[in-house]
Amino acid sequence: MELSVTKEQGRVPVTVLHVKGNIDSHSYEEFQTSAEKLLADGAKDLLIDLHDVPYMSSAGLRALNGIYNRLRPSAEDAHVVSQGVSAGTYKSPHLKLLSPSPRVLETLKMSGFDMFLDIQSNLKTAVASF
Amino acid sequence: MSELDSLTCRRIVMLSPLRFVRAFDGSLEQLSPIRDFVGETVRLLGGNEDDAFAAELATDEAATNVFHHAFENLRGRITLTLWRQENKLVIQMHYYGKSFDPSLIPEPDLKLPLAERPIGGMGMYIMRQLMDEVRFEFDAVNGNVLTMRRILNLSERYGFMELSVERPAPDAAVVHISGSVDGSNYKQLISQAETLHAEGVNRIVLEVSGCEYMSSSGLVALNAITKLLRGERMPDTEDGWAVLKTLDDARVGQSKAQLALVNPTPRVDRVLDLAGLKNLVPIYPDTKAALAAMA
Repeated sequence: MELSVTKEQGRVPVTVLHVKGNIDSHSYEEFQTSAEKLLADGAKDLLIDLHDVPYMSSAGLRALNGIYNRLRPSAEDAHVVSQGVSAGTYKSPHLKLLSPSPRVLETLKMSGFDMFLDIQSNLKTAVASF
Repeated sequence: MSELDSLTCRRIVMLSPLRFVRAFDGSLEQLSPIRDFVGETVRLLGGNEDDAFAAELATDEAATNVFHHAFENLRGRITLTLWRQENKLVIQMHYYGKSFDPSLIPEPDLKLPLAERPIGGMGMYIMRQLMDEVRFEFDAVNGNVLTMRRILNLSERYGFMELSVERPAPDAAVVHISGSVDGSNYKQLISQAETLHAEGVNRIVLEVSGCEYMSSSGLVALNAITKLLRGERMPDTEDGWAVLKTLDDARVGQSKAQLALVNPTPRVDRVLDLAGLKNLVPIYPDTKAALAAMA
């Protein structure tokens, strides 16, 4: 797996993590650790570029879950978030995905992760959406 | 086809699937080779890209669970066996290790926010989404078996075989086969050869560029036609797959081949290769070369 990071400036600074390779239970930790390090270093808005990820298993979902938990809203908003997710009106404002392949999108949809992770298909639009 | 015939065919398909078997070490680095093996095999068995993806992902999830939970950090091994059961793909995973009660694995609540979701259960959920059946049998002595079945996305041409015959010489015939040769129609191919043989044909070229799929029943037909053209007793197709073992390979090469294949698709070619039939039935790039070689 190859990981690289770029910084983009929209309304807010956006950190883009580009992933190259399959995400399975053999490789997900490397991906998750790298994303969590970006957050520890101060990144507040993270876009994960999945364009070069041909395949992702539930291990990748587990990693996204972990990253999402680091970026989740403060406790007082939790109730609103919970209601919004159930109603299908809430998407994470700080963690978004870019250009997943059809197979990866299938995994995201099958697991319901597309319900609250915003999936973008264009870098500029994605950055501007934060 | 009479009722008896269709029953017989069904029984042969059940008795004689071509099985693809491979063992893997129980380590996470093996997930990628496991997916490659499963994907390639599913395509050989007639599945499309969606079937291959579903099988790869479900097997990956199953293997990951076994490595993490059943082996408990000890080095185990899994054996994967794949075969086709009529319109279904069957994937079987055999391993020794800890058992569990699958009914106790909760279905994940997909409406729950990520932060509130329990970790785990997603792998099993994905397996059940992708497969039509997921069944565990635990046996401490003989090993545990996970069986997954999926109805394949077969084309409308499944079960459909078209034969057309050319007679370039009084003793030679070229049979063009298109569609799929499987348990539902392989006897039709054998009777076509019998008819030709009765008319004095002793060289048959099967031109199979349009044959999308050949099951083990198709291989049984090749065996039967070989014997027919050699003037040997035709095998009882009731014996299914076992008849392939009756071929006397030592005889191959002693007499000129009287049956040849022309232009198989890569999928059919690989099935022939894996079944060891390439020694028996020579393959030529075109009909002319095949006829010349058998003249």
